[in-house]
Amino acid sequence: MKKILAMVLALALVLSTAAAVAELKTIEEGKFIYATSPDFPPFESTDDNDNVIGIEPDILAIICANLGLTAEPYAIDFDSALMAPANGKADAVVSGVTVREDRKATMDFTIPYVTIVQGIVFRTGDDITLENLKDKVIGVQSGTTGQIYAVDDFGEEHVAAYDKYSLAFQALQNGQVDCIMVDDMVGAAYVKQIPGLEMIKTEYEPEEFAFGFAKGNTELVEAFNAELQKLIDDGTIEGIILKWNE
Amino acid sequence: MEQFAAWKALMSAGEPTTLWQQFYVLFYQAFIENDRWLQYLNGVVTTLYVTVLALVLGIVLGIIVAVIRTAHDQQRPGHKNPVLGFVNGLLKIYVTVIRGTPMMVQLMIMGLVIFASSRDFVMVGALTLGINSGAYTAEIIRGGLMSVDQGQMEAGRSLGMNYTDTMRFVVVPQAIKAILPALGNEFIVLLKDTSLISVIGGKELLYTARSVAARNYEPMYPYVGAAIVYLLLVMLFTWLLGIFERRLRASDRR
Repeated sequence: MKKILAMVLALALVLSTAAAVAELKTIEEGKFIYATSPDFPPFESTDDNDNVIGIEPDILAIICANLGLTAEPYAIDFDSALMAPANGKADAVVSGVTVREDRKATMDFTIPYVTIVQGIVFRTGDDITLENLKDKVIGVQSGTTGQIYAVDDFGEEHVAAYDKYSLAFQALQNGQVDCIMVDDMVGAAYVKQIPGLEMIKTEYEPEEFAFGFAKGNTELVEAFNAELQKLIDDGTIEGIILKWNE
Repeated sequence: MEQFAAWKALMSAGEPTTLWQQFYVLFYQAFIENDRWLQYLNGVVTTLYVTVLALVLGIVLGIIVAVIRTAHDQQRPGHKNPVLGFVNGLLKIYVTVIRGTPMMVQLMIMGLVIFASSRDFVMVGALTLGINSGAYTAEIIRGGLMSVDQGQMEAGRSLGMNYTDTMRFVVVPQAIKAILPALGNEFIVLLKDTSLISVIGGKELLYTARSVAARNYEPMYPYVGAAIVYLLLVMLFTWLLGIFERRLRASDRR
């Protein structure tokens, strides 16, 4: 009798965990693979052991723990990261992705969790204002909203797009570009790291960051939405953002 | 245009679409929308420009290096020229360093360290590729010069021609024919390596394809399109080289 009871219990346990996992479909069972371009502090960067760290990995760690998943980064250039979910290479792109109408055609977004505006970073002492940008060369990362705005407003010949923002900032220090268009929080992080730079904010519409999932995986998006909402409501996300901006 | 907008709306709404409609929309947005084909055209022009510049630089460098190194290696025993020996040593270092480091690393160093203040990314790219190609071309040409039998040089000299004339009229014409296939190989690699300059901001064909892919969040059409253009360019190049080879062979057998 005891044996049968134990077996039934064990079976029930196996079935229930199987059911929980089956609810959330990811590419690799039990793993949440996210595409990210870790040159985007404070949202994501790498430490000396090549671990991806920052605001978004911290948020993901909490959410994934609650959902019984293990978060695993897939580090790649930003423009490729944006296409990774649609190509089935990652469950989502988590790389400071701005919610845009045109991006909704290829991915499903979670609720936004932070708002930023575009900033212009330049070397202290250079004559850079929002008015004279049309005569300057603007460095950006390929595929970012910064590139889209800069190309649309100032033309392809005034834009130099790099694989990574770290490269773009190297070019700025070298004087190969006049300024960098980048999300303000990220610009501030670079300004803090690299001496001799400063930032002004642009007047573009504020942008909202969210996680972008492959189209059609509604259960996963909704599970993330619920968790995100909880973390927004109890102030956890604000705390994480404050911590990384210190 | 209207058809594109209508079908695109269908696709982004997730409505069922035919294969033809999908092809039309993706093709249109990758090449035609906002005159994007002009961007590709600019990219191809830059690619060709870089290739030609690098090719010329590579050949000039290659010939200089190869001739000096061959002259050094073919000195009579016991009559070593110390100046030649010194220059030969320097050139050996050049060839070793360039062949021993990846193209990408050379580009990064040239673009972000040596020419750190240059804004002409295309020019820096062409220069790097040319210097790189020079090292490989030098070894190919040297191989060709060394492969011509010593007796040819001796025969020329014994007829009263000086070293330069013997090289020019006897050795080099025979060497060129021998190395043409290998040189063609090197040029093709060079043409394709121009795609690397996009990492330092050079706006060639791959840069365009990347920008368009990033705009539409659709990688297949821009990248396959770029691949086809590269393939066509290489085929054109191979064809021209074939003609050249045939003309050089014209007097082989009568």
